[in-house]
Order: sequence, then structure tokens, then C-alpha cells
Amino acid sequence: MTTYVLKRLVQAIPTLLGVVVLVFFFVRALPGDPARLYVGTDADLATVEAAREQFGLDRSLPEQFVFYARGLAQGNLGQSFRARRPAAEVIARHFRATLVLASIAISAATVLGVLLGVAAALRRGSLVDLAITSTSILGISTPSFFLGILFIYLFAVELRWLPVAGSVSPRGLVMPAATLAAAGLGTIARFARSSLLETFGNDYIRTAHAKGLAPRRVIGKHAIRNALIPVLTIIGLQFGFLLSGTVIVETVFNFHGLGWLLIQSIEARDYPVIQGLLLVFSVQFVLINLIVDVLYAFIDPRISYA
Amino acid sequence: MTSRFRRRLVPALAALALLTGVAVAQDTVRIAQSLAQNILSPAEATGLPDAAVIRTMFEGLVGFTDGVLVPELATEWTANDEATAFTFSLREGVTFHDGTAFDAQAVKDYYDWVMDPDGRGARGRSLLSAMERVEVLAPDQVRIHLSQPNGAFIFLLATSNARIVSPTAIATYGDELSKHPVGTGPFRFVSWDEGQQIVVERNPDYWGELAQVERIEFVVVNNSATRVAMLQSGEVHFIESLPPQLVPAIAADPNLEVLSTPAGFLRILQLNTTKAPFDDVRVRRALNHAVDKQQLVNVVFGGNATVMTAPIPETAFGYAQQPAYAYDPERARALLAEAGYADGFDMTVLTFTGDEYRTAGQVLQQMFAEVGVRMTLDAQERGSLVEQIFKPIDENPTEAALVGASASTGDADLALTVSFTRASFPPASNNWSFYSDDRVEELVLAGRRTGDPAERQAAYAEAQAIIWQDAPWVFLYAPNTIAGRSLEITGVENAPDNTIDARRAAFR
Repeated sequence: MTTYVLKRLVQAIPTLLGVVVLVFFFVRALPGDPARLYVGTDADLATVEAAREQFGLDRSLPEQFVFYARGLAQGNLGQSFRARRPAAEVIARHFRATLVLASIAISAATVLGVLLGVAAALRRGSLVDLAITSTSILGISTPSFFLGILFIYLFAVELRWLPVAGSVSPRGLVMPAATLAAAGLGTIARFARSSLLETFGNDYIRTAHAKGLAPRRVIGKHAIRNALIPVLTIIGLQFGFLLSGTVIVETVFNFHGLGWLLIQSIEARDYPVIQGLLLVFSVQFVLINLIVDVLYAFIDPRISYA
Repeated sequence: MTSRFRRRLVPALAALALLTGVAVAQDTVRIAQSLAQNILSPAEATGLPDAAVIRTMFEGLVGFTDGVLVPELATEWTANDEATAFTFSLREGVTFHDGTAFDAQAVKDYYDWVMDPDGRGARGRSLLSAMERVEVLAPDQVRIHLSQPNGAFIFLLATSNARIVSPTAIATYGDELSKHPVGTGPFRFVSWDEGQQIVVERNPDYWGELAQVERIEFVVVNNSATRVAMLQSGEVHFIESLPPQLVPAIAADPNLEVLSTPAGFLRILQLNTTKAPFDDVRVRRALNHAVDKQQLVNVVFGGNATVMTAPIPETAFGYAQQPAYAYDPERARALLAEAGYADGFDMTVLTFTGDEYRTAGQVLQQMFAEVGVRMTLDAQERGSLVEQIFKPIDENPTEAALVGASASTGDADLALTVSFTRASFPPASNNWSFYSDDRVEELVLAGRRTGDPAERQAAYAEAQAIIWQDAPWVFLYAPNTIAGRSLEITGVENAPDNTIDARRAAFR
């Protein structure tokens, strides 16, 4: 297992190197001058030039790249143009917020989603199934900005139970996490349901029934475990997306996580932060995929990584 | 949300609401800004969000209160006739928040630092570029010598970029100065959670009347709907940049009020006077006659804006009202025909993304269509628009742009210089029309070369008349700044320079 994990990590290196190079040139290909945006449109040329020099943008593109790559090799993402402090520090501050929010949202979505999915599958075709299936669709298809604003008006403006502004505090997390969980919950419930139904059709389930196992044991011991494998993939992917920051929900709730930071950094053309963020997102996806693959082995004894 | 729903639910849940309610202590005023603050060192600061916070902590020799030039750290001042030397008597007994005494030497040390060509205060340096040296005449008297006459210099000293920082803080914090604000203002720095919130508290040693609230918190809320919800839920007391379409909702709320203040901002359609057909003054005038500007204001701003009456804001010193370009499509068509465009022409208008610009652009599109001008709107994100519009004359592809202009010093000198003189051709500054007129150049210089307000006024009036007739812009409207405020507080409002003035914040 350890060898497998190490191998996977080594395999990720070319991917990440590609990301580093692409992102570096990509952000610089965007129209817009970070120095001009930083000093404002009413600043004179000397002020713009001073900022350009301070940002190191007066140097040639290859020079800038070498400078960036050299820093990166030493674990340095560069200096944020806007915040005037290390980009890594800026990203870390917002990462914590997003990590907490995404973890709560994915946990809620997983627990509720799997429970609802299983319930719907067991009572296939019943009213319960219909209710759960249609609610899932509703959860998936309601745009999060709409759901977010609905929550805000109900629970913050009208009832005043919760603050509008999200933050890393129990009360500040409720609405953003619920909004995020709503969509994930629907997806997970639908996946759990269909995966379980598919499993029910398998021979080994029929065998289990035939040999006289109690239905509860058939479902609990044989069906769910196998049905969860594809669900796990979905949960992993969803978590990856949530960790990349959820631009809309973070904006609606003024929650200062990675999605919010990405938007701010793009608007300001804060190259070091944009580069750092995209690198972090790539690393996250690599890691989450790896974790999901490792989890497969735990759930399904047939899967093993020698 | 219906009130019926409220009546049914609220009593049942009153206890819970009391337990969890969003209570803000009565000694703290919370203000929501739309953009994050970047820099709290006045000479380095670039944005309006910075200026709002800086104003609570820093003072200049002079400043603006409600748009009027007032003494701050100076008690009085005189200029020589040539407008090359300004002498200030300083307020006595003033100390910076770090205990450093404010005196003539502090003024000199500070401005020497700003004007140091290798220093960080590039914005202040560019603003005060006429400043040659500061002379200490007595502990409570300084004279500022200019390298060239500038009658508007006193207005420059009153702007946010010219506010004075403790020389001790400069020595102590160096490059980190922008994160450690130390001034003389009625509030002093407490904390800064970057990108999110800045907290200031009452300065108990302030030389003037003490602040009436204990603390002010400036929170950053980018999304306008979220700002409005925070005001409605009582999480903040004041929000800036209230979108016109949300004005009725705030106005209808018995606990809130809408503040609509004339500001030194303009919305214009700038025409590139070096490109056909906009090199013909008849075409430019025709476009001015083709727009029903009052109608435009009503559609875009629900009346919270005024039609432009001069090429500079009404709030600026030196403003001179010009005769209106009447809405007259017939006349516009005649002028176009005279210029050889009887069948109209196609034009592309560059503009920002965003509700106001999009709506205004669409209204212009329709009005221009009436006179045969086929306009395409090219809405771009701010960064790419700024890049295009600042290209030098030979490379600049812009035909016309629907953008903003302002007079940040509240004086005609800067407003005219940046928009209408050759020195301000992009990329140097904001003369995006590449407008050029010898007489205007002379008049702007003449206005700067004298300290006599009447002479300055006369020079600027003539310049404005020429520009108005030449119509390098389709002169549109001056939007008010619109804010929402809780009736719990007073004394927080938008100053005419479009920054929040929170110094007089108080609970009712």
C-alpha cells in the first residue's frame, strides 16, 4: 500500500509541473495590467511604473518564469501584489475557512444523502421513493445563489436567527454549509439509490437471499457495502469541488474562502495568488483521488494495490 | 416575506430569537464597504475603500468636511500672489496616536519622506509633485515651496493621499507602514483582518471634539444583495453602493433610510477624436443632441443622478454651467447629414460589465438608432477594459467608451488636466478622447499659475466653454452615491468625493 501511494504521488509530479507552467503563462496572457489596476486609473505613469517594478513585472517573461520557478522549488509562491505579503500566507488564511465549510457540507451531504438514497432504494416505487427522488432533483437543480438568498431572507432578515455574513463560527457556518450541502445531498442520494438498486440485481444478492439470510443482513452486509463504491467516487469529486472554493456561495454569504479569494485575485490580476490557488486546487484533486482509491481497498476486499 | 408569515412565526420563536439574535453592542458602528481595503498609509493608498478608513485615523494640514475645505492640523494659511509658497500656522498641543508630538518638524519630515523619489509614497508624490521643499519657520509654522505656481495646491493638500503620518511610525515600520497606521485623527487603529475587516477606536487624546462612538468596524462585503440583507438584518448600520434597483426596498423599511448624495463623479461617452467619424465636431455634437439625457437618468438611476451641465462635476471648484445640448433628433440627423453621414454609421462602444453600464449602454443604443447610428456595445471586464483604453494613440483601437470620470481633488485643475490636456494622453493619464486644444492648454496653465480664486474661476470657465462646444464626450450624467443607513445612527455618510465619512458617527 505504501509503495502504491508513493508511486501515485510520484506520478502526480509531471501533472503538477504542467499546471505550474500552463498557469504561469495563462495568467499573463489575460488582458489587464496588474500594476495599473493596483494603483488605480487616475494614477500617473511614474506610479504605475513603480508598482510594475515592485511586482517584478518590468522583467522579461522568461526572467519572471525563472524567478517564479526558483521560488517554487524552495516552496515560495511569491509575494501577493494586493496584500503585499507571501501568497502562501494569503492562501493559507482562506484555505482554513474553505476546509471547515467544505468538510461540514460534505459530511452532512454524505450522511443524509446515503440515508435518503438507501431509504428510496428499499421502497422503490413508493411515495417515499418519489418524494426523495424529486427532492433530490430539486436540490440539484436549485441554483445555490437562489437557495442562499432564500435562506438569508428567511433566517437572517426575517427571523434573525442567523447572521447574513458567513464566518468560521458555529452560527456563521450553518447557512453556507446547508446551501452547499443541498446540491451535494441530492447528487449523493440519487447515486446511492441507483447504485443500490443495481446491486440488488446481482447474483450474489440472490444467493444471499436464497441461502436464507435475513433481508436486513443481506442489505447491511452485502448490498450497501458494494453499492457504496461508486458513491464514494462521487463524494470524493464533490469534496474536491467544494475545496476549490465555492465561488457563488462564498460570495452570497460574504464567506472569505478560496473561491472568494480566487475572484478577488483575478479581478486584481494578482498573479502570484492566482498561480498559487490553481496549484493548490490541482494538488487537492490529486490527493482526493488518491484517498478515494485507497478507500476502495478498505471497502472492497477484491481491490488491493500491491 | 409576507407580514402574515411574520406575525405567525415570530411570537412563537421570540425566545429563541432573543437567545441567538444578532446583537451589536451599542458602542460600535459597523459599516459595510463594497471593496477591500489594501493600504492604510495615506501616501501609498490607492482606492476609495482605503480613503474611507484613512479619514478616520489621519488628518492633513487641511481637509474636506462635507466637500468644504476646512483647517485640520493647520489653523490658518496664506499663499503668496504667485501661488508658489503656502505658509501654514499649525495647531498646537496635537500628538500622533503613538505619542509623537505634531509640529513643524514632523510636517517637514513626513513630506520629505513622501517626496523621496525612491520612497514608497508614489501616489502622494505624484499628487504633490509641485512640492519643492518644506521649510520650518517656527515650531508651529511651516512654509511649503512649490517648483511651479499652483493655485490649486491647497486642494491637493486636502486630499486623502496628503494626510500626515507620524514620522516615528515611518522610522519604526518602514516597508510595513501600510499595515501600521499612526495618525492624529479622532480614531486610532485597533486591528486589520485583511480583506475582511478593519477596526478603529476612539482616540481619547484627540485635539478636537472626541468621537461619539467607541469603535467603528469597516467590514468588506462585495456582493450588493448581501450588503442590503446585512443592513436589513441589523448586522451593519451603513452600506455603501446601494444599487438603484434596491433603493425602494430600503426606502420602504421603517428602520432604514436611503442617502443619495451628489458626488464628483461623471458618466460619459468619450469619443476618440482622432478616429473618423468622431474627428468631426458636427458628429460629436450630433450625438450629444441625440441623447435624451433626463430619460437616461430616469431609466438607469431612477432619478438618483443629475444631467451633466459642464465637462467637470458641479461639486468641483471652478465649475461653470454650460448651455444644454437639447434633445433634438432632427437636429442630430441634420448635423450628421452635414458631416456627410446622412445614412448614419456603425460604432463600437467599449464599456464595463455591470448593471449600470449595461443599462445605460442599451438606452444609448436605442437613442442613437433613432438618428441612424448603429451602436454595438462591447462590455469588458475591468482589467481588460483598462488595458485597452490606456493604449497609446497609435495603438489604441477604441472608438468610443462609456466610462466614468471624476474630480478627486474637488478642483477644476485636476479634472480638466487629466481629461482634456495633451499631457494626459494615454498611457500617461485619462484623456481617452485624445482631445487637444491650444487655448484649453493655455487656460489650464493660467488657472494653475495664480492663487487668485476669481482669476482661476475665469480661466476654467473659458476652458469649459471651449470643451463643451468641442464635445469630445457625449456628456451624460453625474450619478449620486447612494447609501443605506440604519435609523439607529447618524453622522455616517458619503462625502462628495464618494468616500465614506464616518468621523461623526453617533447613535441616536
